[in-house]
Amino acid sequence: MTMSESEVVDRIRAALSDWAAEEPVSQPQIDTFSVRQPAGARRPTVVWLVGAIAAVTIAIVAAVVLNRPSEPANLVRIGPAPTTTTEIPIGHALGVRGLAVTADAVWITSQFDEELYRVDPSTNRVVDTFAIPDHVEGVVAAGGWLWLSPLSPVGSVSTANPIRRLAAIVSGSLPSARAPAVRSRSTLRVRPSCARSSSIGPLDSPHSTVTTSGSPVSARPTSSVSTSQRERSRRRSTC
Amino acid sequence: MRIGAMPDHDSALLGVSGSGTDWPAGLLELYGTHWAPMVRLARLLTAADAASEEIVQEAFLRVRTKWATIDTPPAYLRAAVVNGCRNHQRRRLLERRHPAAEQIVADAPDEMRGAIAALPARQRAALVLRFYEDLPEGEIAELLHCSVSAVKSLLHRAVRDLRKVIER
Repeated sequence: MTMSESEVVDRIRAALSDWAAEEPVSQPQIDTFSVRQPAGARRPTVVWLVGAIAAVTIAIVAAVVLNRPSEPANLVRIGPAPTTTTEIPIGHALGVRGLAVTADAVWITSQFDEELYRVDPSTNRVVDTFAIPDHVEGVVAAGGWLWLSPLSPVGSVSTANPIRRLAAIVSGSLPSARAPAVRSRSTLRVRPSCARSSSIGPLDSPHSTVTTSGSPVSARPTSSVSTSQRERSRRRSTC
Repeated sequence: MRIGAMPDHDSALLGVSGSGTDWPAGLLELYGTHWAPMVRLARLLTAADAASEEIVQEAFLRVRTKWATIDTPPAYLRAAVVNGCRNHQRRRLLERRHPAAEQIVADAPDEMRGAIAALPARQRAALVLRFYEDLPEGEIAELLHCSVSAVKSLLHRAVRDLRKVIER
């Protein structure tokens, strides 16, 4: 059965009138009117508690966000004349921490995004980015290698974790054809118990005092490292 | 607590003091004619909440504080009741003391009343003001702080839901 609009409205009016008139309304003396407590005073304590927690959280988040560098870092190249400066954007890097120079590249480490950037000085552009499994403070180039210093103490890192991967990334990502400063015949291996300082470096180089036990890295640049060389290296591996 | 015995801060809050004999004659007349209708309105707006009379009391106290400045005391009183009911329902939701819609329907003496009580507060307010108070949609819009088209929408949805109950 479909009712017309007016019939429905009439039924609603009747229902409302019946409901309103159902209970008699007693009229108190006007001078007995009471004042309810203000709404704020009745508000549950938990509401104030939640509000306070939310305010503190917002303040902390705001402080962190405001204190964080908001713009990507730039590498500034200054030419011979004082006015010829060039800003080179470094991807998402928020803080340039280290800078090293090799024959054909400038190497940049970032404070926040755990990346190693390779900048081509001829084009002023980032031409390669390598993931680094730790925050790195600085980078230098010496002896044909890039030397990275992680913020965390090396002694707390085992041979199975980031350092070995770092070695693999660095040695595997810098083939001699593109980075002549890197010697392709070297192998990078780590023995954490010997490395008490927070720096890592080339370990099979003839003059290195830091050597290793454990398996070699999987991404060696070339396969030209002979077994006899490894054996010699192991024999030298004393802390 | 009698008004005459109110703490100072409450008296200051509402701007009232003294006994009922201090009330203006016009306001006493308004009280005589509008108390019961306003309590009934508050009952419908709050779905028969026990606080209806308190809400109307507060509305009268507010009218008293503004008595010298308001042009149409009945309209001001109605607006104060509608606002008081809305604030009361907000507090009730905040304190989670509001029973679930299913409980309201189950407690209602008949299906139609249960359906009205189970309507969302704004839909019920629009319905009551339109079909019980016979207010025009423009005035309802002012009372509910929304547009006329929003009032029409609220009424349409409320009537649609109630039609289902009526035609069942």
